[in-house]
Amino acid sequence: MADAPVFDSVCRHLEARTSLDHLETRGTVRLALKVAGLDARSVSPEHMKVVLEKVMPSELAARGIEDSEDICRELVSKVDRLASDPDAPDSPDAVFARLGGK
Amino acid sequence: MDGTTLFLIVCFTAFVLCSGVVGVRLLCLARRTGELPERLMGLGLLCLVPINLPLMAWSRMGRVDVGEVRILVLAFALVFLWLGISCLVAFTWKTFRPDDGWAQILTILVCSVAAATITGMFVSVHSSPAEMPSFEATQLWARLVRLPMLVTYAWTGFESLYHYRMAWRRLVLGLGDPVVTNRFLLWGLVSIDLLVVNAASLLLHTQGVGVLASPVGLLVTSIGGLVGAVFLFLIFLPPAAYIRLVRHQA
Repeated sequence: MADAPVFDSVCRHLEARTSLDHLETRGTVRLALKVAGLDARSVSPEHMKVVLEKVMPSELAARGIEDSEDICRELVSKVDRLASDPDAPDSPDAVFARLGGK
Repeated sequence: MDGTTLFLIVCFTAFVLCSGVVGVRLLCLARRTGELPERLMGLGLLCLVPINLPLMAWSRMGRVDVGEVRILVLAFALVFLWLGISCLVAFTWKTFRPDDGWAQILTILVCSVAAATITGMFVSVHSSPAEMPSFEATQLWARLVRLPMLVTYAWTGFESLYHYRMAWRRLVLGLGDPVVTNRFLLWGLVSIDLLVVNAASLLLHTQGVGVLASPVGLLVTSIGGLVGAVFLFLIFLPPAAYIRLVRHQA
């Protein structure tokens, strides 16, 4: 299964805005998602925004990137323009929410 | 009737009833939503517990000589056993790893091994001398049939607890739902509970002891059944007070 469009988009913008190369960028974003309990294949734009606000600044700062807060704010505004994919597969969360009658 | 027997009956009945009610409720939900996971889970629970277990007991398998086993009832019990195992392993694949090739292969493998061992069990009863104890006639197959069940429960337990850990991380960031996070934990614990009951049963069987003939087997089965019933109830039919408690603690 391919990575989510929002994951690819954030990696592309991050690569253009920082000194990180292609692999470093994707690895950094993947690690930030893992810290947040998310997966690159299924992350939604809404969840990615929270990761960019709460997790990514410290991950970028730890890799020596200056202005990590500003970069993440920029990325959030770009993610805002991406709509959630309505065809995304049923996540385990959605299944278990349904099974319990929620 | 002594206290131990009464406790065993209460635990067993609670597990059978709870699985039955939850299974029917999930099939009703599947009819409304048209989704596969609830259909698989509902069918799996119904086939494995409230249909298979009474049929197996009614067939007298393991308690009498081969000639006295109700062979047609046993055949139905085994078909439902296979269906139950297959539905539960397919639920784990479709819910947690729908896009992973290895998960699909593992599911097919579990279903195939379950079909082979269940067929072997039936053939061994059918072809053994009538005066031979059925427990002895099916010893090897009764052990082997536990393997796909153990793999299913171990895999389901691992996936549920892994998703519980990930959901907990999301919860810390304000992304998750505490009730759903709690359901991952409880479903993981139900799977571990069933894994322990089946592993204990297999262990006793390898020593030539039936579960119902051993005090340890009775204790593990009873407590396992009761724990399973309580957790199933809290996952699929949670009282409002429990949901409030989980939200409050988060």
